Amino acid sequence: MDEIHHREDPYEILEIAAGATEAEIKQAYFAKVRRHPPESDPEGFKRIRAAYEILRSAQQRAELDLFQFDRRVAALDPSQLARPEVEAPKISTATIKEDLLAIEALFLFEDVASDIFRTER
Amino acid sequence: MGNKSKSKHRPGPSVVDLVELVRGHLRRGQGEEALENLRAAEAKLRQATQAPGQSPGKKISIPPHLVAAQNALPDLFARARLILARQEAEPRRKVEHLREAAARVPRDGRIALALVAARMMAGEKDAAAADFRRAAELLPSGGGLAARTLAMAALASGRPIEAKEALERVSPEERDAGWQRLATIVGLLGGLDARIEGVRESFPLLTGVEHLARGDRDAALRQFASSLAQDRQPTEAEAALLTTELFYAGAIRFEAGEDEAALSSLSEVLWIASSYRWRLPWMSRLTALGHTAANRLAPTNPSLSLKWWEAVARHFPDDPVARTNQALGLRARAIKAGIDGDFETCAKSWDEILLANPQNEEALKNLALAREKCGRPAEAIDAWRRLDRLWQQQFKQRAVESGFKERWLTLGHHIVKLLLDTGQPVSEVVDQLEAMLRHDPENLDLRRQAFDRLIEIELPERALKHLDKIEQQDGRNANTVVRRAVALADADRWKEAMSHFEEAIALDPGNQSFRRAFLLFLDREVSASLDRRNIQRAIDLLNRQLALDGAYFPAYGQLAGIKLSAGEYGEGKKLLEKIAEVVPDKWEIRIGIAKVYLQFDFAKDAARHFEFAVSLSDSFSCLEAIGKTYLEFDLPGKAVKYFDRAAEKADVEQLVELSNLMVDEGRRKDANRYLAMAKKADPLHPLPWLSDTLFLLEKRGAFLPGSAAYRKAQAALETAAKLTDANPAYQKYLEPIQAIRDEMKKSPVDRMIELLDRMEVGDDWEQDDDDFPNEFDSEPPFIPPPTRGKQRRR
Repeated sequence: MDEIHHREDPYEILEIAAGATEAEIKQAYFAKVRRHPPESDPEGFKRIRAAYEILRSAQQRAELDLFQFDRRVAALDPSQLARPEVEAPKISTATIKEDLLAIEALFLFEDVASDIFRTER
Repeated sequence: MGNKSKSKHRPGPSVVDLVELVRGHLRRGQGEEALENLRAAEAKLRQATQAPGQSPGKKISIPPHLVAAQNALPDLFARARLILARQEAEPRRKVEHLREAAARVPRDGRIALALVAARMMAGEKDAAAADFRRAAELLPSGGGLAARTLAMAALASGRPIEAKEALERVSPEERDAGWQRLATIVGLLGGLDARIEGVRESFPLLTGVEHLARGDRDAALRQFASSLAQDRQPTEAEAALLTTELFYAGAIRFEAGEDEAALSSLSEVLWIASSYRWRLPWMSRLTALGHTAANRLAPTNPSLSLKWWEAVARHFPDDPVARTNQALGLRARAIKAGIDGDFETCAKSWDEILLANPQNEEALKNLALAREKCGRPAEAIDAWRRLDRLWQQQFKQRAVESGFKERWLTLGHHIVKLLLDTGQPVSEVVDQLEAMLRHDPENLDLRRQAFDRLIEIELPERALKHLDKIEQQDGRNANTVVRRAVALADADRWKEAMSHFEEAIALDPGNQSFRRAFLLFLDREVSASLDRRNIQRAIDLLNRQLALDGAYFPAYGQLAGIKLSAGEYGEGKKLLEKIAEVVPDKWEIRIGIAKVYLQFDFAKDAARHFEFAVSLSDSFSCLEAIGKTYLEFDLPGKAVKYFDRAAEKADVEQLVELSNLMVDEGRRKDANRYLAMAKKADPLHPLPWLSDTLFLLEKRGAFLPGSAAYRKAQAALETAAKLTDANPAYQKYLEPIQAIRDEMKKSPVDRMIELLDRMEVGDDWEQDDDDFPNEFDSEPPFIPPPTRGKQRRR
């Protein structure tokens, strides 16, 4: 398997999505080259050119898509996360009261039940 | 037999029996079982108290024991329901059980109190108050429990002073921990006016809550943390108290924006709460808090967030937020693990995602990749194939998608490569190729691969179908013709194969691989002809071979054999000499020629070629091969001459090999001689002694453990063993030595029978006197102590 795991991601270099069409790839390439022409940024141009060569070759692109972990996929997009329907209420006297009474009711219930089972009818 | 007196219908347990059973269930806390038997008892009682055919209401006489049972049932029902209420986590179901209990024992004030408590837990304040009034009527003397219930009901209804007064009416002796706690709560929630004199106990939760109320969150946190370090088994209610403290600690941290600390606390709360049978009000706030914290944390600490979602999904499988976010979190973890090189985690995560969605394309691809990276190609193939099947199903719709077909083909080729790399059956490779061809029938490269693999697994007819399609698409040419010839040959359609080979050669006369293929085909045909004794055809085919390749010496050899067999010695010899001409520098060929001469008793010619072979290669291999050839023709004397020459160049193992050959020929003296040479060549090598042992054990006398041969064999074996132990390089001899030891332990009769089994017709025993003792005997060598490594214990 062609190991291109550690190389730069051609999609990232051209700033395009994985499903980009050939026309989109070409467009992105030209746009990048305009911003990084060989005369003023030879290294940048080289990277862009190399990325373009990979993506415009159907075979190389297929191998890239199949045999590399996609680094560009956002690890966790917070905007996609589901939110609770109800906002968490702050601690207040009302919530404290509700909680304490419920605990007390539990204690009371336990004590009553223990008392009933302790005494034989 | 003997069963005539037995009744057909067994009566079953009586009401009294059932009541006893129920009491046992209640003692063991088995509410459901108790209820079941109670209902059965009730039904039986109904039957007993209402005689058939009587009008309802008519009085009948009930036996006393049934009356007692009847009187006991309500209380037993109530207790069963109480047990179930205790076991029930959901407050509303607790209430249901207790309502049933109260219906059975409407005069039991304590059941009424329990019902009040359950209603409080369920948040049914008004119903609780109503039930309390009933309970108060039933327990006019009050008591601690009644006072607490009244105080709680009052407090819940917003009447703290009434609560305070109810508690103050409890005598000092009855002011237990429950009273103390409730009194503290009343004071806390009711303000200064509701504080009761003499409240002693301080409860960390309540103290912490007090700090909270004053806005001192740090102090509250400290208070909550201090009580959490408990080292005892709490009751359900105590656990509720402790967990509530933990929850508040988490909530405080959440409100302070300390999401990590908050989520850790809340996760622990969730874990603890899931093991208890209570449901408290804050539990509905727990997930809301936790989800909000987890969402905020997700970008910076996705693993903690994911742990939270997984925990919630486990305990609340219907929680939609947990379900959605768990899937997202799992994906994030999987992706990060892949990028970080943690391929085991990566594979595990994607595998988990696939459980929920087996057709997740992204997951299949990444799982396969991760498995390859983990060095598990066979498992990777499984994932790749699943992806392949998915894409095949989608092929029609997605073929127009940019790059889809290329990806799919690349995948297919990769699967083929992995199948071959992992040694999977070629039939699976073929299946993969043919599956790809179904969607890409114009792909010639695939077809050619399919053809080649089908030939490999000897399915020529199927291969020919692919060849037909290749020719339809790409036309007929020399390559397709020769491929067809090979397939036809494999299909035993030799006439067609023949004509196609001829055609291929005609189309591309200079093609050496075509010639080679044709020659191999003709070899098979020559053998078949000779088997059928069709000599003329064999000759024709051999001549055809020579026409293809004038230096094809096997053809000369076969022709020579035919000629010599037919008595045409001159012709035959000429052909044999032609081989020597055509392949002048290979000693193996010379030996082959000599062999043919020997077959026809041309000993001098054979000897000439043997010597020529030696002149080409004066090596052990060549000399041994000559010796073996002579043995094949039953000329041991001549064989030994060459073996002697070989022995001069031989190492220990080769000398032992020569010795073994001589044993097989029954030439014990020569065998011993070579063995002695082996021992001399390397006195510290165990192999000659091992061989010696085996030779000695085949002597007739060696069957008896006391015999000289046996003792000698034993001595030789021990020498071999010592030499093996002394040098780690000879470890491989340990097993055969042990095998011989085991053999020698068998009874003489068993060993004799085994040897008889191995002997062939005409064989005879080794005579005891034959070379025993032999003139080449030598003393065991001095074995130096081992210089390194551990001695292997036997």
